Amino acid sequence: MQLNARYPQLFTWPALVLYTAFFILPSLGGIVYAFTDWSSYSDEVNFVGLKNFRKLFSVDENYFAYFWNTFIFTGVTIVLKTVFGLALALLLDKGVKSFVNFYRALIYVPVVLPMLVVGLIFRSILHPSHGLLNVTLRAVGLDVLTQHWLTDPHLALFSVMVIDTWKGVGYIMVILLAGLQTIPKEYYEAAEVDGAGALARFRFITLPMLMPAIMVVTVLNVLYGLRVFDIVYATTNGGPGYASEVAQTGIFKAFSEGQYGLGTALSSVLFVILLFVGYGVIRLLERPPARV
Amino acid sequence: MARVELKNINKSFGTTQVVHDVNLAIEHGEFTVFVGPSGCGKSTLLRMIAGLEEVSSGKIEIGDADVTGERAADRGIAMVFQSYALYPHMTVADNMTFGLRVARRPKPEITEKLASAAKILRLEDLLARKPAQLSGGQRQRVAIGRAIVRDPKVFLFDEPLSNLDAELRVQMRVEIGQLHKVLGSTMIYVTHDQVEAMTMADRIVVLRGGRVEQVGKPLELYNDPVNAFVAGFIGSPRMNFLSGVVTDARQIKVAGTEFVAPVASGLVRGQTLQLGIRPEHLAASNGVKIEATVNVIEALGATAYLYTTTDSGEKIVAEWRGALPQIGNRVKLCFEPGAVRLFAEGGERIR
Repeated sequence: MQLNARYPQLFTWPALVLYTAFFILPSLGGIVYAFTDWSSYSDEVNFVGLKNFRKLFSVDENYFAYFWNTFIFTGVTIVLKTVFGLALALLLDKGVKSFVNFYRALIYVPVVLPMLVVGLIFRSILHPSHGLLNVTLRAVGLDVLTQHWLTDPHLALFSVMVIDTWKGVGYIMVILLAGLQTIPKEYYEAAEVDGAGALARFRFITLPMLMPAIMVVTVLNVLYGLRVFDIVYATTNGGPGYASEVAQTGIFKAFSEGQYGLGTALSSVLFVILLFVGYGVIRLLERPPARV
Repeated sequence: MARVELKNINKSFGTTQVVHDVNLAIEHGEFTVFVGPSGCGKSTLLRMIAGLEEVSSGKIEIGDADVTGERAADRGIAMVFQSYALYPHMTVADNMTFGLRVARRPKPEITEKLASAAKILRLEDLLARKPAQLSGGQRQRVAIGRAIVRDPKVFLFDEPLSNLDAELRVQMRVEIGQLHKVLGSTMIYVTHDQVEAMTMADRIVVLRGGRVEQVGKPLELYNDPVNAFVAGFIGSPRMNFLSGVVTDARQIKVAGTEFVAPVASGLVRGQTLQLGIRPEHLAASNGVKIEATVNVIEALGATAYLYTTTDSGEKIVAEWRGALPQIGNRVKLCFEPGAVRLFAEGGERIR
């Protein structure tokens, strides 16, 4: 017994050492550096207290908008991906009878594409003058609908959210489809005998029984949305101006500009937000499952 | 009045036909049991009556109305599923009233129907629980309650007791029987267990391979089966089948003895046939004797069953009364010729 009890520890220690050295310590270090003026302009690193945070939360700066955009992005993409993911999953589970695997693959393809490729494709499609979308709209006489999709400050973030939904919806659909397929068909038959129409069956059977899968999807979407970087970087790079800037692009830019102290301060704020939101979501998940 | 009538019902899944031209009339208030081995089409037949499965051809009438094309909810039926299919996220009360709530019935009516069903099934104390907090028997009763609340013309049961342990099954069997007496509704019950069929049914429909083999009261099927399949399926332990030869006019030779066949005609000299003798008919004190060697003894207290082999190698199960023999002993099994049922090689009854 004594020997057996020691084995798990022996296996844990190397992993724990690596994890501490390469993740925990740098993370804590990052938080410490958030209180310094560490930058690429000077070899000196001085403790400056809350100066970086004061700058982040100052009304003269745009960082508030970065976080605001991050929240908007997270909220809207969660809704879009869940609604469209669920609709597609329902269609593939019940509606479509032939070529199901073909459609499933088709919807999943964008998930597999590299983010930068998606960015390039959509920058081309959404180009204001010779992009596919506007050209098509003009060709069918819908000139009024043509937009500067990625360069209009009011539209840019929305366009990015739609692109991200297009890319991410397949992944969400696969999880929801798996969830749908675990719902025993007797429940639907019992509801059918009880006189429940399609809408009532969805509302009273599908939705409650799919809740565990929807929760998983929401956690994934929240954590992804708050940390989003690559799709924004690849399409608008936060532009025009700061219109589609999110937390991670702000962090990236602060580091590129050599303002390491400011960058780490931004990261720390994002870390705290993730910690709270993540904790809240996981608490929601811990509720006992309804399934027998 | 809620008669159920099936006219020329056929059902195919793709190219496989699973139900062949079934014609059946179930009278109002009758407890009918569909029984047969797995894959005989009994569940499919029930699901077609319920409206959960479309018929490939034929007509279904419930209460003299053609419901062949109707939705399940509009047929005036309620169904109890093998898995109970209780909605796990709803309380017992919500499960039972789901149909009424979906149909937007008035609140007082819902409360009243729930209360009366709960009373009949003794579920009053469980109404606030979720299905996961109930025992198997309680879940079963909730599933029946959900059916009662709908106030259906016809109750359909799809192997409702097969998930329960043996003791509870016997108890629920009695409860469903009593419920039928209280409600007086037409009930159709599917099972593969012939004991359930024999004990519960007013009338039994024996199915095999998607065809109706015989319809009748339990004892009619037991005493007067139309073929070897029904004879073997109904009754436990099952009927013994021995092969015999017609030696002369009405003389039959079987297992080393000869006797006069209990039929008037239909025998041809030299014809081979199957003799069906039930184990309890081999406990007669005199009559035709068959000698056999005892292999296994099952003593059940009131009675005992001997598993024996004849000299010609045929296996016979016989009921035994009186002092038990030893294993390996030779015993004389006696039967009255009138208790024997004769079947042709193909299985049809010879009367």
